[in-house]
Amino acid sequence: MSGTGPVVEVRGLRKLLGSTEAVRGLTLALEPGSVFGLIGPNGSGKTTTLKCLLGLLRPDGGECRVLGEDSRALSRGCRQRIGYLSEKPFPWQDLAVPDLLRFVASLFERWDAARVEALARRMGVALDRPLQAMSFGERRRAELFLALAPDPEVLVLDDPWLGVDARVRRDFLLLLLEESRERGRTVLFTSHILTDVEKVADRVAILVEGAPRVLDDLDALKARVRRVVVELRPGAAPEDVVLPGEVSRTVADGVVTVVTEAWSPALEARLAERCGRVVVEPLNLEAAFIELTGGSPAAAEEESP
Amino acid sequence: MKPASLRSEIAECREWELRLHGGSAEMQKTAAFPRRIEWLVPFIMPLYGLLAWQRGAKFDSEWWIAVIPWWWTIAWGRLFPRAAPTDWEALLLPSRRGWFLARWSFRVPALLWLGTCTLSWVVLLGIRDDPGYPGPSVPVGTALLLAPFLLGALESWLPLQSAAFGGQSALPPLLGSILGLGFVGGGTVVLVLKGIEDQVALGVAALGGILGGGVLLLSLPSWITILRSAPGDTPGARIRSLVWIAFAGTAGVVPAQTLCILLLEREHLLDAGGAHPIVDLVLLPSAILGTVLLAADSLRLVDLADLGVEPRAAAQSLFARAAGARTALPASSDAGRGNRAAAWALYRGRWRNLQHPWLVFLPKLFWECRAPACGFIAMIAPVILSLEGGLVRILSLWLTVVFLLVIPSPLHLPASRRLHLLGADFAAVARHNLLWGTLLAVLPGALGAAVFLLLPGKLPARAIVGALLLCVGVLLLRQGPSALETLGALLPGRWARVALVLLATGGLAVGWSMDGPTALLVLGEAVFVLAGAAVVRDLRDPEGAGRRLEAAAADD
Repeated sequence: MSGTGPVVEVRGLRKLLGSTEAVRGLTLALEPGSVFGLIGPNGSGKTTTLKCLLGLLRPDGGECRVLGEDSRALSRGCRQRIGYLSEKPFPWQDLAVPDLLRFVASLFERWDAARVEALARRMGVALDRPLQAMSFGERRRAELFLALAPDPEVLVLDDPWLGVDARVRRDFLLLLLEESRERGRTVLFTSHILTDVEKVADRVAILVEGAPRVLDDLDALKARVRRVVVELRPGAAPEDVVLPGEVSRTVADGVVTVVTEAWSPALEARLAERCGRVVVEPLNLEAAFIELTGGSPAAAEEESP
Repeated sequence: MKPASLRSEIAECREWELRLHGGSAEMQKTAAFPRRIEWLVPFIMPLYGLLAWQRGAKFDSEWWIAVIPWWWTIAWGRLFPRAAPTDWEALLLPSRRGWFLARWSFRVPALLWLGTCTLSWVVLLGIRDDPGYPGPSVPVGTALLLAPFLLGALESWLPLQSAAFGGQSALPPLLGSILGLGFVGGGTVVLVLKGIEDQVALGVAALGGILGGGVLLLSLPSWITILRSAPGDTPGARIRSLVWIAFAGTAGVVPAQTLCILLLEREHLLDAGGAHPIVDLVLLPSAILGTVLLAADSLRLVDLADLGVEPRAAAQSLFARAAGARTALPASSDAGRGNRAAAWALYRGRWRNLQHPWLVFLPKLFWECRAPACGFIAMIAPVILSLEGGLVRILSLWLTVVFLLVIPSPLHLPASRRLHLLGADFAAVARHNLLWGTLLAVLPGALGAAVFLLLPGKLPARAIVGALLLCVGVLLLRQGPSALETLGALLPGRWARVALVLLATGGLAVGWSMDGPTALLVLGEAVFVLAGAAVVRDLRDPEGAGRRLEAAAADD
């Protein structure tokens, strides 16, 4: 990998699980040093996408490339440059972290023991007990540590903050930012905790039933998804409030509230002139997610940390 | 793929297995190395075969010599090892194909050893100077009783092994087919040596036939995936792939089934004089139906059907609309009626929502018919039992065993499986199921029991004791390794588990030897009575039934 092209590339990915199309035509690219958040409701194809990317599942259509290699045939050298945190528990939970480390180290051609030791101290990984004797959060922290220990160039993390407390999550986030900003590591992760995604991701993709609903820079997404509240002046009708990219609309007591995903500042003056007073509210990622994925109460509840 | 590259992958994965073998206790458990028990226990078979051949010894229960090693190696050995690497392993190892082949490179010697011991046993018994077996056809019974265990093991093994290849390889079905063919081959060897009347040959061929058919059915989901995604860049290449896949997968099964059918038909003619209408009109169709039912049950095709009705918003509204509700499911004030309507809508809507209606419809039809079939079998079994002829008796027993294994539970009728996900009221669903449970399970069972009781002298005390012992054995064997896991946790220590397996095998052996055929029938009726008791209990306490249903749904 020369470092000039995308580190991770997905083109037109399709994957069938039984008769269900779990991923439908996903295309994305990750530049070196970027942090990419893959979000979506449960069953929207996030984990399937990661597995296709890593060669754990074979795509039914399209192509995935990691570090320049086709994910269907990743070389040993390439695989050793990828760190993966699965949603499933690490195997062999009867071993303590030092023993696991010795085992894992023997599998890698290059291994920086001093760095690993420092990382363990920094992450506060419990070293004295086997994984199965740890609490869920401790075990998750140890598993993330094991994914980071080989110093991978690409980190693929499937719901890394599952079951860990707020302080540990904050430490994870700082660590991820350091890995990407200071060491140029590329991070691709899924999560349901959208406030955390908002803190670290450069780009996000929102998957809905396997298809990309949104794929954009996080800042650009937040700039264009807005809630627009229009207080209608006398003589103006709700139908006069016309906005491109309308996602949802409510009308009550002469006030029209529209969520749009194609907002631009130029629209405000035109709308005010035609309909009345206009208030434009920004949405955080969680609110935008709920609007863009259909606004179901269940989804909103589910995504709350 | 180039051979050198594949060899390199396999070598790397073999090295991985060696690392696991030398690792912690948990790592050793996940390694593919055969355990000592897999080498030692099968050796019982040729040892006994030698003894029997040299001395002409013969015992009524000698077929346990084959059952026990198979059972033990399935339960405690690694006859069917884990099918797929963990995600973490898969990322580190060169390929799943390499991993699979490397593991089988360790497994094949043990499997060959088991097969060789089995065939030695078969051949040595076959060439024994033997005037013929008295009473029921022992080898056929062995074959038929082994088949459910093998199918049960294959049920979990085949789809998972296919999953190891992303569900796109004909190799696991092929391996299963070869296994079935091996048994038919063994039967054929003895057949050539001893002639068509030989029961050993017949038994082995029957086992091969059932196994082969089971493999074919169990492989169906994999086959569909394979056929829908045949490799190849051009139409010609895709067709060639399909032909090869079809050939590879059916090469073992078709001859096995053909031979089995020929042998069974010939034996029927020999036993029944080829003229008895019950044999011609009832027994064969029933035997086929029973085997298909067992396979359908093992395949979990009913669950497959439910895949079409996952509780997504669209499905939910579809069923709600069909049930006459405006939004979501009916309100709890009308839960009973609403859920019944939703259940019917579920049944009706199922066919519309599936991409493969015929694949699901037929097994589903059999599934719905199985409870009446149980009653039917319970009614005709005593009649069949009164006929002379070893195979006829054995087949009637086989049918009984099949239906015992798929005995319906009123609380587990398919509608409940997904209705609970749709937010249905459990007590109402339980009431709905009880209605059908009564109709489908208890009524025919009661009719069968009435016919049974009208036959004087068919219920000796030893048969009842035998039935109780069989019940212990069937239940323990039915649960298989998972029962061992559970009980192993309750009773720590190797010897406690040894005692447990001995209890299961001992229960079956002693129960059968007391009065096997009648005992099995008594057991069948006892299950019907238990089902009836469950229905009565739940009718008196529908809320409790709802709670039990909820708990069962949570376990699904």
